[in-house]
Amino acid sequence: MIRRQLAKPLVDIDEDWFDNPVQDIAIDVLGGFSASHDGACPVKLPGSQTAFAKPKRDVDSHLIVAREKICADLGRALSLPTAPAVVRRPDASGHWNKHSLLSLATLPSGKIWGLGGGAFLSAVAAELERLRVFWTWVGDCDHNAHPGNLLYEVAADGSGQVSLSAIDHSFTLCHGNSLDPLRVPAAIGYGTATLASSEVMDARMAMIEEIEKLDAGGVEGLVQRLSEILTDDEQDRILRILHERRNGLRVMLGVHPK
Amino acid sequence: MTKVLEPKARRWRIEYCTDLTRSEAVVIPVGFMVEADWNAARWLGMIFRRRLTTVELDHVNIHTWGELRAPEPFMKELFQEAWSSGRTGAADIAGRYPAYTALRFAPEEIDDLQLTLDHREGFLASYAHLHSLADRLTPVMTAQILKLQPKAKPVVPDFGSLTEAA
Repeated sequence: MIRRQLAKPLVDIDEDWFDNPVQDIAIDVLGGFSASHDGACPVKLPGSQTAFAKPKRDVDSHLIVAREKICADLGRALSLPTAPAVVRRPDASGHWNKHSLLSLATLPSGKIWGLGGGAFLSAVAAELERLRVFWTWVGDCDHNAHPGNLLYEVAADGSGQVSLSAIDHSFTLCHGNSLDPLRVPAAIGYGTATLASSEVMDARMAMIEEIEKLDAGGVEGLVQRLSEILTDDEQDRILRILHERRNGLRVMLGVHPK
Repeated sequence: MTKVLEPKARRWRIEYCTDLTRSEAVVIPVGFMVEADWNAARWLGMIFRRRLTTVELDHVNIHTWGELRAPEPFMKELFQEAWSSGRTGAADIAGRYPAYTALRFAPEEIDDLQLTLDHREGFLASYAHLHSLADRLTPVMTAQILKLQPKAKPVVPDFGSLTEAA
């Protein structure tokens, strides 16, 4: 299965946003902020693609922005279907007077998982389990069957292929609790935690091993390149969370130690 | 002393975006939902297209959004659920179709519906307001009209509407 597949020109934006994590990007607002905790509004990018800008202006933002960006990048490094994200600098107009996060729309006909996604569980079980392991690693507590934070679509060409997009990673990296990296338990995900199929168990082990093999320096680099919005202490705290949770991943997921 | 609450009205535009990844994608109007709340009384209305044109359906991902093959029963079901779920029913339904999904309930500013404390008057005003939105439900994509007859019939919106008050 192809795990992270984006159509042109989205794949170019994905690469650009990964290589250049903080940018000045002109946007046109297309609608109002959603009623969710952080709020997100649709915007038009320079190339006419659509993204969602967050958080809304009265929300204390820099950690939300950082967590979303770090998780989007870590997901990309693991070839997971996390929505590409970039940190946008405040603009001269003053309308956006803080750094914000742009999350790229990647599914042309996306639907929230809570509306019928379960019917396709078997088709994407391995991918969902990989995501669950990832969410466990990053201390995510907002993909525990949250119906709106996972999108899916069935291919319009009638092939039956199901694509996913994992969005909204602001409740990660132990948000609200930076003192105990292991307090957030294993993610529940979207129906795969209790599946005993070999496909799911293999996917679980494979993702654990991929995370364990990720270059520590590379992970540090993804965090430290956000020095424009994170203090040294904040960077260290996030890296400690990632380090401790990587070491505790097998125990949290109930698999045998190395 | 009982506090008198100002009535509130909300409106959502129901539409299908044919490609969420592109800002210039065609957006197909599907309906509107309007809610008025006096705390002691409530009014909910929905106006929707009974069907999309063949050309519009060609641009809908039916494999993901099969409900748009025949919008009427789907919209009726949503309306019933929004009404029977109580005061937050409409907002809850709208929340399942946020801006980042192809079928979306987009909140709209509603400055052309003035409500007073008299909810019976408000029911009538809300009904009239709902039906004034019919003009915005004209199909955006239709087949080319072939000149086989001296006069071609204009395309008119084919819509249904549902209302409840209590």
